[in-house]
Amino acid sequence: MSIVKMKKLKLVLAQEDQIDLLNYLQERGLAHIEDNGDLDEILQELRISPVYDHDRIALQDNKAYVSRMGVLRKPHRSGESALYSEAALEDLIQQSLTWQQRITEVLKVLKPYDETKKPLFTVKRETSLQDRYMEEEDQLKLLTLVEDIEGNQVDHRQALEEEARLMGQLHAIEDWKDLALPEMLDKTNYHSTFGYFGSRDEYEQFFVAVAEADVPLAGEICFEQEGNLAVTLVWPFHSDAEAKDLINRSHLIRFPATNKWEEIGDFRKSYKVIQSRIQAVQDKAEWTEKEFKNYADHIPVLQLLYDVLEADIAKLRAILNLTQTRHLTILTCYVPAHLTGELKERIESCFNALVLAEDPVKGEDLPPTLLDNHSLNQPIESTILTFSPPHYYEDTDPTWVMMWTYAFFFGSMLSDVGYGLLLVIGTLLGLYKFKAEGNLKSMLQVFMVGGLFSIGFGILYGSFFGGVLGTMSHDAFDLPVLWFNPMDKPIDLMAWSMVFGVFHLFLAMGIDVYNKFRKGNHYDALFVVAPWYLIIGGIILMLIGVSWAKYVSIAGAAVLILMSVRSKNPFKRILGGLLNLYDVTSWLSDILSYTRILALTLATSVIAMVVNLMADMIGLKGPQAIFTILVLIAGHALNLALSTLSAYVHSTRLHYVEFFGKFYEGGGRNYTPLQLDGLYTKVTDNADSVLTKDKDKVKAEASSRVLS
Amino acid sequence: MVKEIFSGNTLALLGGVLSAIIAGLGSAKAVRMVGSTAAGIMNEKPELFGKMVILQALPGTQGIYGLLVWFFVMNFAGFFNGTANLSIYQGLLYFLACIPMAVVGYLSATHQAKVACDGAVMVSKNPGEQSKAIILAAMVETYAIFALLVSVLSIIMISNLA
Repeated sequence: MSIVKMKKLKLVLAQEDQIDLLNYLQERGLAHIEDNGDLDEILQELRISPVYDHDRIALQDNKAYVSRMGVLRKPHRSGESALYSEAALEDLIQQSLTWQQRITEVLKVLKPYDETKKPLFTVKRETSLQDRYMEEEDQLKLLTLVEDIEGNQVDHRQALEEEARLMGQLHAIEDWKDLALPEMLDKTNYHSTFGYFGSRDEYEQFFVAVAEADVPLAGEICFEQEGNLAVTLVWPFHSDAEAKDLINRSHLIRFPATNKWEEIGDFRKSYKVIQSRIQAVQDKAEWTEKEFKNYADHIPVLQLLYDVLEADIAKLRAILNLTQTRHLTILTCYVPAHLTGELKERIESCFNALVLAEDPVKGEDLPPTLLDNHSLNQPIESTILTFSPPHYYEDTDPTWVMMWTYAFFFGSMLSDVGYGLLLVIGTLLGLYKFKAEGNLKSMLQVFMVGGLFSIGFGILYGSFFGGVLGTMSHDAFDLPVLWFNPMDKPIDLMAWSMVFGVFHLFLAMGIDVYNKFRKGNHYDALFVVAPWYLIIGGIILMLIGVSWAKYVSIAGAAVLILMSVRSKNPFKRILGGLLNLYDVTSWLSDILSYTRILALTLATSVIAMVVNLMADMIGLKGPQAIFTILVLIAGHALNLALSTLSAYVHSTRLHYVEFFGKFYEGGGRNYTPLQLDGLYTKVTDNADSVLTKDKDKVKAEASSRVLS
Repeated sequence: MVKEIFSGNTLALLGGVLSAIIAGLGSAKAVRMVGSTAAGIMNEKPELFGKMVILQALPGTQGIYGLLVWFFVMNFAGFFNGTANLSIYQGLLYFLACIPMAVVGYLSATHQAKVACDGAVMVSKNPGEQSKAIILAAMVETYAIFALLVSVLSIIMISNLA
């Protein structure tokens, strides 16, 4: 239940050990690497011999370690270092990011073809450490695979586009395909054309013109469509010029020929040609689909490659923060203090390195914040970190309080035995059957505890699915009300909501007092924060009729006015104190904000009641009982979803705004150590190698092809 | 007949119905706004459906609050058990009690939708920021909750007057 103490480590090591050390640190996942700053300063600070200073090198855009695909080659191997300039490192990071993007796209394409059983929640695949040091050769093979899949995707898309285009052509000549004329044209010396007239009048006018010009031209109406007349016109070679002249001057919209068969007028052949082409592109599309299915077997290894690149990028970013000379590498990092001794010993015994451990200096360093809490309290950490990580020096970790207050308010808003039970069962399934991980796991754990509180409040209010038992049995039996029914006594619940709120805010103030004492700021703790206990406590006692309580409030206010501002000028002191007392308005709005508990409790129970009333109207007798059950299931499921969302949102708000407002500074930095876990995979000791499995699969496929 | 039409019962029912209608309209408009933004985003990123639905559901609550106020009017004015017999004065009080939820419900839903739309855009760029987007939008709902409390508590107190 605290913010973990950090030590600042400065590691000076032989250049040839650089990558080995980074690999080691990445495997351990402990070191939050920091920017070293200026080379001169660090050499001076560490009193490094001028011999090494002379040795300083001009880092060049040395791409010898970068393969054709832009993959880091040698830095994976021991005894190597990455003497790149900043620009070269940035370039490498960019290339790796681009590859990651391409892998992501390829994985998206392959997803529909993946026939393996998918879990409900995304679970990281376990991989061996050996997989994470994928050989360059394997990486290149996989990147080629990515290129192949991209190529297949292009082929697939082109085939589909071509198919659509050809289908359009086929459709356009559909009505012409049985034209008898072409057979005749094959054997004679005639010219022909095809097209549309806008109306029968235009067609007749054209033949009047033909008759007037005395040109031997014949026409046939093929079909009529939406007032348009599709016609074919034929004329002998010898009157070609006159016929074309007449046609050009007419209203004929000529049919655009898409292949030579249409040009010479043989639609029947043309139709067949297009059909065969469509068949060919369909075959191609089918083949590419089959290829996608085969490629889908490689999804695990492509995901592994993504994470290998992720680890590479992290390492390259770490290298960007290092200071390097030809023979030395200097690295600064933060490590949890209790692990420093062991880590220092290991590094100094395994590498040519010197490790200097020092306490971070307030004002100069801001170490990252790592929270250490009991596993029962841990789930709420992610909610706190989402708001802002606690400040390393200024804050006290509120996790241990917040886990329970959060669940309490969540439960008080949902407040139903049935809904609480469903939530607990659902979250347990998510946690233990579907093995949710990461933030989702934390959220489910919080909801589970919130569900338990909801059951507790439901028992107190006598609410089971909004009183379904009482409604359906017409009050023959129902859960007993142990405390009070919010629907009958909303004013009581409103008062209790504000009482809960006052306790919550007092708790926050308690943390503030503790924090101020911890930092040695006793004066503020006693005279700025603590008087509010008297002021607000007194007001509440007054409201419930304790007559002497007003003196408590007045005493608190007097302390605040006279003591809260440290100034020798009494005018300034009292004016400042009065301004501090004005804060009572923010107390008022904060406490009122807790009345949302009443609103959300009523919302949950009234909607549940409406569902029950609707079900009761249909009744449980006869076949309509099925509809009743359906109405109950659908209505309560919808209410549970909406009420859970509201309870989550408003519990979070009560903590972020009201609770944190009283004590929390925030503004800390997230602890992001150099580590191996990626988006898709996590490294475990006894996991099978994904890469070896993939290679075996490829071999098996190859041998089965040979056999067949 | 005319006397029955211009009765307290009519006024009370009008209040309840208006709060359901106006707050409901606000929520419908708000959910449509966030839905359109979400659909645009899902064109590019269909995998964000789950996150978008939650943001879209947020401004739908005001409609439910409107329904709650209607329910309270029906219950406390005695429509459910058939005992409703209100004077014009009582009916007017019920009517006035419903106004906060109707007006604030409509406005807070539409304003919340604007925050939720911006939140959806934020989530599309950085899906990890969903909880922040939800909390930002939820801030606007506070005033609908206060309006609900004002309406509900007023209705209960008016029923005690009779």
